[in-house]
Amino acid sequence: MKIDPSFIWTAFTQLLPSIPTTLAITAVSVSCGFIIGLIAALLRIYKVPVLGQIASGYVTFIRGTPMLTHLLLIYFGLPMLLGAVSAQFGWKFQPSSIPMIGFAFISFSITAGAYMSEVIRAGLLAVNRGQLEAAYSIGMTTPQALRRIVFPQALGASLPNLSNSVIGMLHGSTLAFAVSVVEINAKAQIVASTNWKFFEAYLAAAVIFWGLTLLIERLTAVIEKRINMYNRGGVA
Amino acid sequence: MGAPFDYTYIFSYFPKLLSTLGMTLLIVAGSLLVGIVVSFLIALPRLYRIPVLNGLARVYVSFFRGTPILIQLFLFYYGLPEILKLVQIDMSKAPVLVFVILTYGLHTSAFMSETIRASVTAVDRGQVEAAYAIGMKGYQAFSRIVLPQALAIAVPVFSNLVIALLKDTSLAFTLGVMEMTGKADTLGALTQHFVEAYISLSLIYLAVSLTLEKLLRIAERRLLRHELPDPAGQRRFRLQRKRGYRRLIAGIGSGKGGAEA
Repeated sequence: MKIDPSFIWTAFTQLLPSIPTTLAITAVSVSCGFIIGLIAALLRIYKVPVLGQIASGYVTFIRGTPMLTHLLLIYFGLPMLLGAVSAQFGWKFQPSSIPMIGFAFISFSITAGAYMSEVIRAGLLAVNRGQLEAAYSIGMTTPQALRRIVFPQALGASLPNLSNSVIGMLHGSTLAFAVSVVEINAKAQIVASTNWKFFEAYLAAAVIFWGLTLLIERLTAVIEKRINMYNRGGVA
Repeated sequence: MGAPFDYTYIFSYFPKLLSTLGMTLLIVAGSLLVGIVVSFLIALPRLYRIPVLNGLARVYVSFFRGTPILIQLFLFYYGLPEILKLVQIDMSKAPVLVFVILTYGLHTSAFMSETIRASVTAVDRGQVEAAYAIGMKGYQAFSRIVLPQALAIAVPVFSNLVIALLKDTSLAFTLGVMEMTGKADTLGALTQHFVEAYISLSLIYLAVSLTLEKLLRIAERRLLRHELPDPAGQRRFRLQRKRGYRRLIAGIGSGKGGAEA
């Protein structure tokens, strides 16, 4: 077996059609994760009695266990749970009707939620308390103050970490192969084993991921510059 | 799918999974060793801005941070023997574990080198100048003054990296290494009690990461000894320094913020 440079390009073109799947998994898990994370972070910051503790437990558990185990637990556990519940209430719902990619969406959103909640919490805590007090003093309600004053500043503070989380989820989406979703990694595996050219196929996949990561980093830099405009200091 | 849920299996799987905990920890320890050595080699050219090496180190870090660990595992497993064959080194007989430890080591080293760079930069420049002023040489100043302080700054970030590495090792089974996840997979397939096997697995991972976190927090406290016991009169001053230190840590990060693996 010899390295065949021209096959890298062939593999590259064959991998391109599976980029949307990877991006879909990333986008869904990041956006659902952001909502879950925001709720968990607010519950913890405001120390809401029982729910705050549940949120803390959730974050600790998810951050202490590999993402792969979340996926496998959801993949094997959720149909079992749903099957038992729907049998109990006599629903017509069939757990086997959930598409494979659905498991990836659900489990990765749960994973992303825990990591996002830490990022969001750090961002919210980074906002000076005086900002909130100033907002109250001009008569804003708490939701108003959060939405108009705290969140925009917290977003600026946590943008670098958010971008790291997005990149983490992009790289994490490679695990979806475990539930037979054909994203870039699984496609590379297929291309590699049908042509018996493993190194070339994975090299092409690595190049694609590298490109996507650099793209996300570049985008973040642009957004960061815009979002922190209020904060540039100096006079004008 | 699978047999009905039976929680007793969770407990009966514990000892079976724990028997492979050694393998998981071996991968973690081996890759940490490789990672620490390589990360210094990567961080030093960047810290001292050595012309060509600086650029190479930057590409290295960008590559390992920019591609998923799973892809890297396959890339090294299939690619390294091919490349080494060109220089007449036969690796076809090398055990899979070598590739796994090497890949995880190189992957961690990229993140670690960023941590080293950030924490060395975070040490006050005046410290080096003071060391020079009392006649220390460059190497002495680095190893006696900068390194201990940088180490204390780096430990919390380092602790996150170790835990991330532990979680990443769950992917080693894709190359056929029989570590905890691989074992859980086999146990599940054998008895069809998948959910119980994975619950048991995740509990062990959780316990191990919490333990590692606690151990590294003790290490952090020891390394910060020079900051802690202060004469009573300076207490206010110390508080401010502590807060500065915490804020500093929050600002560093390794870039491994995501949920990979």
